[in-house]
Amino acid sequence: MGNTAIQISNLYKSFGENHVIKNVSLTVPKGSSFTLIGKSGVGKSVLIKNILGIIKPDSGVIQVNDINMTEVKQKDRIQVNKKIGLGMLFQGSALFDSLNIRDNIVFGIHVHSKLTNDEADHIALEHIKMVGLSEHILKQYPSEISGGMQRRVALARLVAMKPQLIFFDEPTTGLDPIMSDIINNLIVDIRGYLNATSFSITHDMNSVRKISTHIAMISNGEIIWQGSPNNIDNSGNNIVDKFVRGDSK
Amino acid sequence: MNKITSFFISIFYYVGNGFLSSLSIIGGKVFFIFLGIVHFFMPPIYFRAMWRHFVEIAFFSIPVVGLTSLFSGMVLVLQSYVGFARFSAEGAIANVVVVALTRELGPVLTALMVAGRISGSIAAEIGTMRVTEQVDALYTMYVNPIKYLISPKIIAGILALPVLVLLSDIIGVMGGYLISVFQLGFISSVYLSSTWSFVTMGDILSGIVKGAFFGLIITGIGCYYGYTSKGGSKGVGKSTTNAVVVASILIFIVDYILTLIFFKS
Repeated sequence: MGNTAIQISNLYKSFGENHVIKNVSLTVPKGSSFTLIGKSGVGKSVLIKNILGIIKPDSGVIQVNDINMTEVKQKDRIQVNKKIGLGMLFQGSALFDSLNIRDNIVFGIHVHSKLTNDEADHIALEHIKMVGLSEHILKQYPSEISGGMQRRVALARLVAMKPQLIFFDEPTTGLDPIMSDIINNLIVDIRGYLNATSFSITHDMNSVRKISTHIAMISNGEIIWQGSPNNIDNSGNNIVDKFVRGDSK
Repeated sequence: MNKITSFFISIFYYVGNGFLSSLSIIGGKVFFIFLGIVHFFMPPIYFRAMWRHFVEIAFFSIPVVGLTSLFSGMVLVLQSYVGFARFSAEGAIANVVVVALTRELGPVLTALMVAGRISGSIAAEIGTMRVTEQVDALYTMYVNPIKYLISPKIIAGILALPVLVLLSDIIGVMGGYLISVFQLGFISSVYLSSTWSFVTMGDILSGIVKGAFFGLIITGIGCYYGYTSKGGSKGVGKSTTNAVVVASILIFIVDYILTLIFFKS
């Protein structure tokens, strides 16, 4: 387990009669950039939320850094997540719309340790520059900037927390190809800067090839293929091949 | 015989099922609000957030509560005058007005006005945060959403409503005084001395205690419906409506229960 960041064994999750996750087992090595691919609605986001403890699995084991997350009590969950250093970039950025960009970036630090205004300004400036945005937007509100900028601010907010295990939920969805490429580059840079492990879910194949060191494909709630970006084009699995080619037939 | 038995069993089943699910829904709300209160007192205490909400609820509700109370006091005097004049008891108007306002009208009208303004607003704010994953984002930043979002609002509501009720009492009595003296020709000093001599600390305190309970209901229900929102903007809209409706109904129910308790004691 020493070199394993996440170990999932025989995970099941249903919502009523809908069996979203069926017997999922996978291993994410420490320091890797693991990407889970699959069509919309096959349980990718549910899997991440199970790992983060936002949703409780029906059965199975999730181990993160040798901690059995399925045995962690709900009241201790936040402290355990903090100890591990979990962080997440949400599909819709999930910026706090009542706070300006500066306050969004420093929120996570400020809420745990009181910052002076100067310290907060410095942290916000450092991180907004890191994601390639101008300091002028620090006083703006999330609703006043574009979707691509929001995604970059969300990345700045994520990096400010210095997480060691980062989850990216559809990081390029809804963005134009240029902005998607910028986000992909930032993900690679940020992972290197933090020396962190990342777990991404996406159906954007350009993103998959750019950010991944390990790939798994989920279909109908089951892992049907695992490999590297080098062999995804010769997976030998019909469903994977169709997905990679974007073939609906 | 079998049909009759199965008929009665199905009646018991549906009644029992309805009763149990009602208990479960009420229990869910009570537990949620209880969690919100308990979390506030666990460190770190978000006092600033609580103070911000207190100002939002108390200070910014003053115009609407003030106007409602002023006109309620004025109308109460006019209506009482019409009735009391029929048996020459106009002298009791000041007494009736102050008791009615401090014990009942002040707390209930204040609570209803604040419920319309605050319950829906809280439900919409938290509901939007819920459906746009901002609540989950808090969680991933190691922040307990109940403690950060819910607790300060509930405590602020519990503290703000008594202040507003007290203010409402004063403005309501002033409204009654203005109509009595300047329109109905009462002697100012007699009206005021009747008011002060008749009202007791118990009247005022019962209204203030009611206010604290109403504050708990208004903010707690708003938070509950916001936090359990789902289904995008339509779901948030539904939660907002439900929060105002349920809070308003609960204000009347709890008002009756508290009045009964104060009446017996």
